[in-house]
Amino acid sequence: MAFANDAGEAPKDGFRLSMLIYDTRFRAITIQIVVLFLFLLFVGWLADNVIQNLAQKGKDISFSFLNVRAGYDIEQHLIPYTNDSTHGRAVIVGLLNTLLVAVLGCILATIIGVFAGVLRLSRNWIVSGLMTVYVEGFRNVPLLLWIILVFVVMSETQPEPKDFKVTQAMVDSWATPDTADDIYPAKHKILFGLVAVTNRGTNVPAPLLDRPLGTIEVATVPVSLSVLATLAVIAVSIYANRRLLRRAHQIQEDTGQRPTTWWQTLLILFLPVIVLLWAMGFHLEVPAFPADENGVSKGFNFQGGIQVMHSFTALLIALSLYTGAFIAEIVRAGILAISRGQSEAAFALGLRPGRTMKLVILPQALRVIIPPLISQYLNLTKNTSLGIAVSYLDLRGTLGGITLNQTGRELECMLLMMLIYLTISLIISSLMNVFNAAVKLKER
Amino acid sequence: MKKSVFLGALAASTVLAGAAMAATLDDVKARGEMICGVNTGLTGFGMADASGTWVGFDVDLCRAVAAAVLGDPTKVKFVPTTGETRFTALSSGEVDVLVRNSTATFTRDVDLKLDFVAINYYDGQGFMVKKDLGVSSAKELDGATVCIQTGTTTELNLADFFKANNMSYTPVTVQDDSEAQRQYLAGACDTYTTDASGLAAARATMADPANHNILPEIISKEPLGPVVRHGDNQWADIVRWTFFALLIAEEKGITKANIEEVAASTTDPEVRRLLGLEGDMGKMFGLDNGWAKSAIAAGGNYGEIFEANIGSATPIGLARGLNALWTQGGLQYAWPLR
Amino acid sequence: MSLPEIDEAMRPYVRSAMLAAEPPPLSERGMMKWMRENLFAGWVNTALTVISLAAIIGMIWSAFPWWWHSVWNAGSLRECREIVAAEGGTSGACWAVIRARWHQYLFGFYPPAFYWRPILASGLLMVALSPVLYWNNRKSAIMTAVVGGLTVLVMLAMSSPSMVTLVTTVLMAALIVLAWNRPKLLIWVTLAYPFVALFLLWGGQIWTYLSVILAVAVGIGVGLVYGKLQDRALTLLYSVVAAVGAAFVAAALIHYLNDISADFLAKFSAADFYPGIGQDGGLVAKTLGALVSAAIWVISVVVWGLVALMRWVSWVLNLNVSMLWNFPFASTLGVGALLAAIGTFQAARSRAAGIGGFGGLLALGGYLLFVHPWLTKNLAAIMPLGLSPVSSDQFGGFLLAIVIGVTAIAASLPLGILLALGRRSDMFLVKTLSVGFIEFIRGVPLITLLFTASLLLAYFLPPQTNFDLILRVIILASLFSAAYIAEVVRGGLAALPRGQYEAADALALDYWQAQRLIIMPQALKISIPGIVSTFIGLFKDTTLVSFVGLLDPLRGVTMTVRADIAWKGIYWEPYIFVGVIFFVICFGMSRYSMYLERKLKTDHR
Repeated sequence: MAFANDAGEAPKDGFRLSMLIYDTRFRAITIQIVVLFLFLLFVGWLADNVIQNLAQKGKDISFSFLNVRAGYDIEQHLIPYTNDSTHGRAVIVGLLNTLLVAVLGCILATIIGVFAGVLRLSRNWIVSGLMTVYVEGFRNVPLLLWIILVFVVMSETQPEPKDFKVTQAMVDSWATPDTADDIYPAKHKILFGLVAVTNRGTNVPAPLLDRPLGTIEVATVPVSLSVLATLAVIAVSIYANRRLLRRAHQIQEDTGQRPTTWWQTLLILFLPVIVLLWAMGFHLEVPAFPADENGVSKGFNFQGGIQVMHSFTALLIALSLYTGAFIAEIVRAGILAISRGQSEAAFALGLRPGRTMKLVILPQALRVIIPPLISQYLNLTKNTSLGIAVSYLDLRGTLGGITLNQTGRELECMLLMMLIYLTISLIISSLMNVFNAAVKLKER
Repeated sequence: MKKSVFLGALAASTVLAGAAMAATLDDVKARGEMICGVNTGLTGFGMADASGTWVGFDVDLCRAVAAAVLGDPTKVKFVPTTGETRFTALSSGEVDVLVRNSTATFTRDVDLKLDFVAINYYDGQGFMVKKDLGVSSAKELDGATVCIQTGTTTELNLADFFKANNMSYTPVTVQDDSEAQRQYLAGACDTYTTDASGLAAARATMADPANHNILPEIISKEPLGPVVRHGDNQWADIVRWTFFALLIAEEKGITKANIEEVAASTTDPEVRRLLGLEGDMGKMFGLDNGWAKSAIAAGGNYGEIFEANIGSATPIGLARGLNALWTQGGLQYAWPLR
Repeated sequence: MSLPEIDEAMRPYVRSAMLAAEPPPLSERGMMKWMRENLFAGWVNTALTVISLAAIIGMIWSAFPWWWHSVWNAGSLRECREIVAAEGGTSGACWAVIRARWHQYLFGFYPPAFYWRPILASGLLMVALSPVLYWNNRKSAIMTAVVGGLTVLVMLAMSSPSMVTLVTTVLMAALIVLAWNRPKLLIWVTLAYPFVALFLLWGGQIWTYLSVILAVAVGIGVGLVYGKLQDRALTLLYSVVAAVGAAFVAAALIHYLNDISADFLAKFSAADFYPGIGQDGGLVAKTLGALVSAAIWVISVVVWGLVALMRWVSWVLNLNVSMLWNFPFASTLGVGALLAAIGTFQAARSRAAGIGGFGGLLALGGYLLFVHPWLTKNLAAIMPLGLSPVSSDQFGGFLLAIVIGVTAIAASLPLGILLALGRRSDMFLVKTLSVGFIEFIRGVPLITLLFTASLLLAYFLPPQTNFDLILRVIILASLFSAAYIAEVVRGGLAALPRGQYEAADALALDYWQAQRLIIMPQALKISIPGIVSTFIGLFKDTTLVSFVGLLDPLRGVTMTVRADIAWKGIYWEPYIFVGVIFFVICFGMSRYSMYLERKLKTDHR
């Protein structure tokens, strides 16, 4: 067993231990073994500590609490949920709430971001100035502050539900023939009396069916057949419409004459759905105060319809505006990255600025825009966890909040929550990477 | 199963280092400072003032315990905890005692491995409504929107109450007391439910207290008290008896002002035991015999602490009610010190 | 007529002098032209202008009365409202709350008598950053001068103790002179800054810090001196291997003596572990079961052995684990170990000299563990010299946000660089671990990591280990930003042309030499804008620490303020105040980042 040779000596053949460090063929393996060793050491140390700590606290690792009755209520639930449901179901309700905000937020943020980014490049001084203020303002102030502020603005500036109420005095005043002394509720519903915005939430009409097709249970989640049927009809209509347009295009190619299709399109797209909805007895349930026989309102709040809680709306708006500001910068940078020659060429072809943007600039800018856009979508999804500031019951609010608190299973709850967030993030980034690969410039 | 076998064996094999649960008292003494978990900000019970000094009903109990253990009520560090982090902070040893208006319940006592050593405030969950709502009983709240603080027992009580009375409601969960009050005042909920003491405190500090009613129904029992970790009986005894010392002091009329005078002149054997003039009470749980005297001298007896922080002379203006001494029709009843 | 004649005839009718230029039409000049082209070009543009103007006017209209009736002098919100009502306003801003509590928004519960310490620390932070932020000596000097002047002014304005103000003035003057005359030396201020900041903010005996600085210097010195000697490099490897082997032997002995090994092995015998496969199945199933259980057995023995090894080491060294988590101690140990490790790598290239760095590391560790506590205790007893200690639970407000933000970014830089290199590595395992770590951290929200710091870390650390929540938050925030910094640095590395790597190879530099001398200086330079953006993001995200009970400026301090009866019900003013400060800081940093991007942009399109 010898140490390394003296420096002057000619290297011998065969394997020497020093080759583990100095020979590039083996060094990588040596390093990896050391890293693996350290990694295992670290993991072993963590596992050991967890076991000891659990033993000391007399706890175990068990996810059986997910089957226990939750006992608390969640106002916004996309699948049926009551306080008799299990913690596991509460987790799913929370997860769906997270996804709802995330998906709507991504869509809204993209729209806002693209508009703001394009408008920021506008020659209109006021518009571009306003957009700059918006972008810089939102980018440089914590998101938490925006969420709180939007929420406060909504709950402080909107009227209370009682301002919509019809009182006995009002009914009495209407009964007299003299119309001059008539009094009315302080506030009225907007949008043809369909929507009421109060400081608690936005009451919107609920779509209802008189003759629904029934529901089927899929993994304890009832799925409405009516909705499925409607979606199927819409899908078929869209497909038929595309066939129609393709045929029109073919005729135009062949004859140079494009047949008039707009009325056929309208018919194909809307008639089947309308017929189906009519057949199922579709109507809107408008939110309204329950009233007695004289028309005097009773109760505390609007009944019927859907109440969209302000915690949801505030979170959605704040997230979209905040992320929209970042997307605006990305869009602006993407547009500026396209060389001026492109727009000049488009102008030379006689395209108007709007069409230049739509047909020439944006498609090219998209390739620059998409990778950072993906990370903004990821950020938005992760930032939905800030719903904690307005007590929006998302995944963190249910699993990492009330359930954790009521069961005291912090290890299990936190690990499960991280795992779910991680899964969502990985799914989004892989989907987006696939999309990115599809639109990427194919270089050869 | 297989996993648990593996982990179990691993646990068994690693006991050799054998870190036994160290005694909290020794830790506190070694540190020269007691760490007390309190509310991040609940008017009257635990909050920091403009100079950063913690004040409040719960805070004064912490100071009394610190005085009993270390002889100095200032040797206490306050760690603000949220509803979600409080019990973990205690069980992980981050705080020595948690005095954060926490309700004693079966699961917390048994499943979370905590010990509620005493009840320093008997409370119950109530409802507050605006007068113009025209509601005089909680039974009339069918369909109401209710503001509740998340991470508390009130969520479960509320669900149970409405279920039992076959009523529906819309919950609005809120992070903290001040935000809940803001939403209630803005009319974002019809009623605010929390511990009746909290409601009274909230109403007292509103701009227009006369326009708000606290409904007569108390829908739950909320015994609030100091909590320690399960399994350290010596420490639990210290906290419990420090609290009882404050109660006995009130019973016997010993106040912060007259304690020296009483100590010099008393002949009452229980008072003499309490003040360490007789017997070895303090030594029995590892303190010096003047423990109770220091505790009482720190912020006065139970009644004094109550009056100074949340009593009728303060803006909060709570009556003693259930928290009067048992001799005055309340529930506060100290075990005999002998 | 011939042409010249015609020409002659026409001449009187052709103007020989230029007419004076007519002014352009009204719509084509001055204000009108500008407005027409910029505001009312086309109906879409006009509509946008009108909408924007309406929005701006609407906002001003609705908020103006509130701003107009601002109250600065009042003792409580009720007083504020009375004053506003007396003025005849319906609503008014009550800035009195800021006047009464501004110090809590800035410093939390930091003792007011010591406010000069965070102020001086932040002034020095800017001085320390100046050579990093500007690579132009003149600009660094200007920045140092401006910051120095401002710090002294703030000191005067806060009526700090006159002695402190005097010392600050002298110190800042010295730094300005230094920056002006010997700008290269300013980098030493940067290197010393972490110790100075820790000392200023947390206080304690100065000997603690001096001793650690000394230890680091000694460690590096030993490494360098030893590295010069031509020694056998493999001694390093062999000593490590021998130590590990000895540890295993010892662990096995302890294991045996505890009579647990028999029990342990029995637990993992194949039949017991995979009863379903092992007993009832056929030959294939039996073999498979045996193989699987053998694999599990080997892994568990390895893991167990490693754990036992750690226990054994800590037992031999008689380590008190909780002692290690003393904040200045742990952080300096980390920094010292890192520096020594860099020394090792530097030394390792001279073939025989790895042992030098290792020796330095050992010397440092030994010093820190055994000599340092004794030395500082005795020095402090002989000659007490220091600042009153301030415990970290007194930190709050913007002080807390800046401490968490700056510490986390600074701590995450080395880790982030390593992760970035790991992610680009050819070694499968190193790459996988780096990618796994980065993707995990980037895949979960920061708030779950903060909850981990407050709820879960206690599970993952040895029992009875307890340290500050702030320190735990800083550790998790550092890991969080390390993942993001890693991606930024990776971008910087990817932006370097291949030629740089090839040139380094051509010069026969090894990996670390190439990284240190060629790659990193360039990659980090182009990464600075990204690092600044990461810092802005992290700084904004420090507001989330309020959810684990810390006093962040946005929610934590505001909650404390609103628990006071005098300020109950106050809402907008604290948020606006905090929001404006955040905006000023973040906007300033983002402008700097843009300035740098422009400066770095050397490609011309």
